[in-house]
Amino acid sequence: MNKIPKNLRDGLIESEQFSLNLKEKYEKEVRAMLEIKMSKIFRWSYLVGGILALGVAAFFAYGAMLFKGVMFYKDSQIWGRIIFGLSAVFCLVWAGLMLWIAKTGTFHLKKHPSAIAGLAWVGTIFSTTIFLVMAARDPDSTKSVFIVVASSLFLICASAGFILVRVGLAELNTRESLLKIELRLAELAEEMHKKG
Amino acid sequence: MVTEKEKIYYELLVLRCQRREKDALEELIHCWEKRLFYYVRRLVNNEQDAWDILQEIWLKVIYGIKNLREPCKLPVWLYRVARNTAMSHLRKEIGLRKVYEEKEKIVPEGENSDEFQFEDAERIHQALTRISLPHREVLTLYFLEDLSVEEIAHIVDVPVGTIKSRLHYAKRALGEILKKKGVNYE
Repeated sequence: MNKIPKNLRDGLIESEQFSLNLKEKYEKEVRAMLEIKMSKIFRWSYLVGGILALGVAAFFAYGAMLFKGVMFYKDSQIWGRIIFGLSAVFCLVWAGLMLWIAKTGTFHLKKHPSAIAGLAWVGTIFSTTIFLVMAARDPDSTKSVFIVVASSLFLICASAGFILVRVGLAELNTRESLLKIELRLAELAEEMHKKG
Repeated sequence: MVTEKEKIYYELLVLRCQRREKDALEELIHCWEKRLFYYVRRLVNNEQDAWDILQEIWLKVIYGIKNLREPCKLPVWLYRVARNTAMSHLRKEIGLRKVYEEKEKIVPEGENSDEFQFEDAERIHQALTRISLPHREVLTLYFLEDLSVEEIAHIVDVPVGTIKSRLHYAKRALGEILKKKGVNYE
């Protein structure tokens, strides 16, 4: 085991001579490096995803305005408009998130996975509800059962995905909190040891 | 050696860096840049090259830290990244073999217990430039960090015995230079 006094180590480091110009140039480069940017391909794919979501939102908004009840049943005009309207809002939020990531060029590992998982979850609940409403209103019971089974499977897969993301994030957060507590305890123990 | 508190601190810092927290990466750079620069500067002669290498090291660290499985080994990992980067630079510049080739002498048993007792860091700093690169490298790691011989061997990628031998001869060479300069050395 080494027995190097800390003042010797610090003294050696302090003895190092360097050019201020070169150091400034280095610091500038490192600062730029810390702005972690995603690759161009990813940035473009988020941009394309955002534009597509905007297009789909426009389509749903247009559908909500013109809906005449032709898709389901004649008495379902209000339902159709609500569904189309909510779909448009959902796509707009999705487009906003995609375009924001594309604009900033950064993917925040603490916030963005949660937001994406949350949005996907809301979308799943929403579409499953639509399927169930359709199934309930359909006079053909075979078709209704098929719709219920399909939407249930869809819901189960989405739930599993959402739970996995949330568990992963919760695990990381818990580990971080525990480490903070452990670090504080180690600091306190060190202080107490110094005081004797 | 790494204390329990440092281990926890490194683990927390690595976890935050793996989550791409800018503050954590800044903290990591702030904590380590002086030591790594000192180490790299002992390996390369040109200051401009040392700054460029340090920049390259941070680039590798930023993108590679997500793969670091044992956060408590952060110092060893950082020095390994630093060494590999500096060595590939040397390899390109002057041919590593030419610079690094040196016959290892075997240290007789019992001769490995020499201890440093000096107070003048500035003179040691200057004397370090006058010893050979393999000796300078292990001695710099020895001075900069409380690393075990095994950890230094892992960084330099040579057997533990070789590190012991290099440390022994490096201390001896440094001691002779310091004696000539009139620094009290035991």
